[in-house]
Amino acid sequence: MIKNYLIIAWRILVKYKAYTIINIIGLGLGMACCLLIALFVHEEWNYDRFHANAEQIHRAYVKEDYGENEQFFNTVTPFPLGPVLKDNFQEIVAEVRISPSSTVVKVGNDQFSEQLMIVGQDFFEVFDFELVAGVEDQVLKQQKGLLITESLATRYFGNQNPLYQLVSIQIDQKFEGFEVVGILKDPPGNSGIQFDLLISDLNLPKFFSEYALTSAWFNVTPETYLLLKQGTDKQQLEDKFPTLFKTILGEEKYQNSQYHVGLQPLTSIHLDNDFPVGLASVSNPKYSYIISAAALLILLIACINYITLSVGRSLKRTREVGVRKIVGATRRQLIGQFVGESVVVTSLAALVAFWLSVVNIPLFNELSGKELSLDFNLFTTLLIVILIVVVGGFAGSYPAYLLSLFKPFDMLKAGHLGNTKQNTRKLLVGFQIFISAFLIASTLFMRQQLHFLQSKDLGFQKEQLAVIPMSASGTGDLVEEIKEGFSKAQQMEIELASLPGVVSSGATSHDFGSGNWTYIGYTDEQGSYRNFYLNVIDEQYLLTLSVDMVEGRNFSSQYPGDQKTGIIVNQAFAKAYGWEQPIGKRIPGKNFGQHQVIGVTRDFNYASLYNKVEPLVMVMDPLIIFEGSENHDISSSPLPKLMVRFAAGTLSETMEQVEQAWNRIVGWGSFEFTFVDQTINAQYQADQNLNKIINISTWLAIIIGSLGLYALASLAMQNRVKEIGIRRVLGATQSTLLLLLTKEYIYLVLTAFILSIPITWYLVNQWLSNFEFKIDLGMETFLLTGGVAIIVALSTIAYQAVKTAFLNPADTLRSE
Amino acid sequence: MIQLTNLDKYYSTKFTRTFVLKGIDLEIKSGEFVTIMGPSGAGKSTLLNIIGMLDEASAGEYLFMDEPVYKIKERKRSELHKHHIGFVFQAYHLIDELTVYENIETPLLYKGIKGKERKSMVADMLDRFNIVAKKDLFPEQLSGGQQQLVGVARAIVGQPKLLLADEPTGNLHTEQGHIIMDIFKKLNQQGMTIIQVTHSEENAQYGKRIVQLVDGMVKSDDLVAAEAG
Repeated sequence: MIKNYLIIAWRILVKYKAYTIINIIGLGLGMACCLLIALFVHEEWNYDRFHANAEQIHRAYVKEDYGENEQFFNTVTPFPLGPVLKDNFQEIVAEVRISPSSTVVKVGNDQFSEQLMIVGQDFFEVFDFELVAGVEDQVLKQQKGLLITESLATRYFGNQNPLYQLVSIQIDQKFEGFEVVGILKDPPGNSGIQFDLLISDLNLPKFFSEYALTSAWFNVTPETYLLLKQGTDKQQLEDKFPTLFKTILGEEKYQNSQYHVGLQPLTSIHLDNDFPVGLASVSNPKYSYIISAAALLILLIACINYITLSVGRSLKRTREVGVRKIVGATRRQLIGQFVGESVVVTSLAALVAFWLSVVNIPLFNELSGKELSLDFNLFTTLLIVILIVVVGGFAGSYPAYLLSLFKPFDMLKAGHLGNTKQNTRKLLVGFQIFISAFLIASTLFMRQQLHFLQSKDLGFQKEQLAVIPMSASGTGDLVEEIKEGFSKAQQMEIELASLPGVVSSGATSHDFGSGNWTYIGYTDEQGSYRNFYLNVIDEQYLLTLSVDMVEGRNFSSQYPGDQKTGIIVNQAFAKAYGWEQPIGKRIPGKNFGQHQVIGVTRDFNYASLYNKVEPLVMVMDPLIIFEGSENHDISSSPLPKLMVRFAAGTLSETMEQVEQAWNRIVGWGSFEFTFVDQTINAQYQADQNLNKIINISTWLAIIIGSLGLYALASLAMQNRVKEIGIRRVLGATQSTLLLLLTKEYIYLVLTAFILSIPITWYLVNQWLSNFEFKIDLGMETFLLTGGVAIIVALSTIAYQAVKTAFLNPADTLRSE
Repeated sequence: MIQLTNLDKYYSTKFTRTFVLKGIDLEIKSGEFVTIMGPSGAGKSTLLNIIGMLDEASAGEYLFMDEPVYKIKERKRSELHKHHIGFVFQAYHLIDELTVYENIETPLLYKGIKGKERKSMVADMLDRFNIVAKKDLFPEQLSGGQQQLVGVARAIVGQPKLLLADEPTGNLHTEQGHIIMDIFKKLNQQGMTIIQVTHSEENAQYGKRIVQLVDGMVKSDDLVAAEAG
């Protein structure tokens, strides 16, 4: 029986090649999208689950609450937290602290800037990162031992055996020798914890003070991971924490800070946006949802093609079905046959989909920022089988149901099925156009917004502007290091001033696009807690950026007092403090050093356009502020950088000269630079990728939808050949006939398009609400969408309509 | 075998009721060869379709092998007609995408007959109708007469008790028509009950009984003279 179904399915597929190809291409494209996105979602959902103990591993977090505006929530923790928890609770089997440190590694004569991870000695007990050389329970017991990943080993040592090689690592301005004692497999792409080099936490005292390591309960640096005993209830364990912290901190501090320690399961870190970002990467599940939805929509459009085409063609097959019924087929058997047929088509489409996926996976990886691969494993096989069954079943069952419904007697008389289901078909095609119109408008709006992000006046000039870090070390006394960096930057500025290719250069603590600037919290004289952002700059900085002053003046060497007491604020600051005349004012915090406002700048966008321009203070000497601040959150490196504006045209040549100057003045570490416009753009990478994905989806939807519409129109026209013939005999002109034939499609497109407007409006606004600076949804774009939809639809059906309207009635009517 | 009592078939619109069949009483015994005749629109085909359970009567009673057809479940009814009734059509109604062999095989597939037995049954038919050489051809490659041979083979391969034929020779040359009618006669002699609808007096002579239908009513019901004699 099955064989008989397959035979007839195959013969029909071959006989109606055009339909078959349209269906296979459409379904193949749709399934390929689903396949790739399923891989993506699968990886997102299975983040960090490769550890055997994944369910038992938790990351500790700390919350402090000092009242309104003064709440702190961190997934990086105090150093003493891990050891104290482990010592006090037997439910905790092991604890691992992971602290990052930017450093320079010297291998032979080469120097590399690296992110070093200092990890607890139970690292391999808690996590299942694979050690390809070295002994798991010994490598982290050696203070001078270094673990590196395979790819780093190749980079450092090429083909030599990396084991027992010696390297120097810069710790607190000095280089110390380390021996490679272990080689790690690169951490998998779906691991939140990423690393290149690991050293044991026996080295922590070299980086941090005794106080920080044992008693600083209000400073946070490492992530703390805890391995719980099998079967431990997380909630019950968390409930025991408050008593402990009351004892450790003392009643008063505990009450003041509302100190709260909790546990976050490792497996939920990646997709939980309610927690602040620690070291482990977090992604927004929204993006998974959006692109999954796009893939499903494309598949749906392809399925609708299959359905409308099958129903359209069923006219030709009613006789076959009628005969089958008469010779004894039951309804179940008939449905089985049609579903079987669509499963055959879907299986062929799955082959196409698999091929398309393999070919396009590099592109997809680029867009999704992943390293996915399509292998024949249980997951992909299962996925393909499920797709075939679900899509085949879904696409095949409606036509099957329809055909099996009719009485054989009616079917043999034929011509009966044609018009009854027109409305359903129209509804389905209308739905395709609806989705397409939605996608077209969305992608146009997204492009407008992204273009807006790139072209908006940020209040400074981002073109031809490079950032050169003055120091690659992240250790030692911060304020001292900032000072030292600035003095080096000063020397650089003098040196660069003589280069014809450099317009100007200025020093700053923070650059653009690499995270929040220093965030200061203090209690003002009225007793309310307030915040502002802080940057340390020199007198050349604002000039180099071309930031306009709206009041007062820039820092200047003509006024030596600026060094110690001058501050510049932005307009947002003046507004937040209600200052009508800001010049000469003082920030209303008791403990700030002596200072006065000497200038107010325009509100330039120092953060991304996702954010408002918040109050900002710029100083030359950070001590003015640090003396009086209660909290400072430094989430991006404040180490000095030189901003260099280049003249157009001579970039590469000038950059070499800058490097030479840098080698003379800074002299250690490695020379690096980035361009401001690129880093600023990179902030919107996720949304740019999303736009590319939606863009591709839109094209696919239009292509698949048009193929379907073309085929459907050709069927519909065939059914009207006789009617058109009669109309022509009765005197209709070809132009009225064309209008007659296309009118209903125009109505259909218009209706679908108009219905899509509210949905588009709502969803695009949802997306835009991520941005503080955004476009308005203009009517022109909607009109453009409607125009595109109508033009595409009309040009799709034009050929068929013209062909039908111009047929010679003598030919079409003769056969009767 | 078949017992129709006061059978009506009508189509209703809001105001009128158009009768296609009215008050049909007809009994057909096992082994009969009945010809239904009458002018176009007399309701011949409708009556045949009702007997073949392809259509339902609007009123009246229909007993098939002593089972009241309208009171039994859809599934049982389709079982009845799968196992006991074969159809032959004027337009042959072969499945274009299947070969001769496969067309004949189809009813057996639906009956659930196993591979080996099925093969021999189909081979038997091909043999009997001398179309072994044509078994891998598709319907469009055959002449009308050959197609109708396949149609008959397909109708009887499942060994039905009743063979229904609607104008079986209507599309054929006289010569080809004779061949089909000879086959019918032979089948009837072997015990198969046959009901055919035809315009052709000549074909009617192959049967044993002629029912004349006019305007949906039985006008006459006679035995064929030659046979009776």
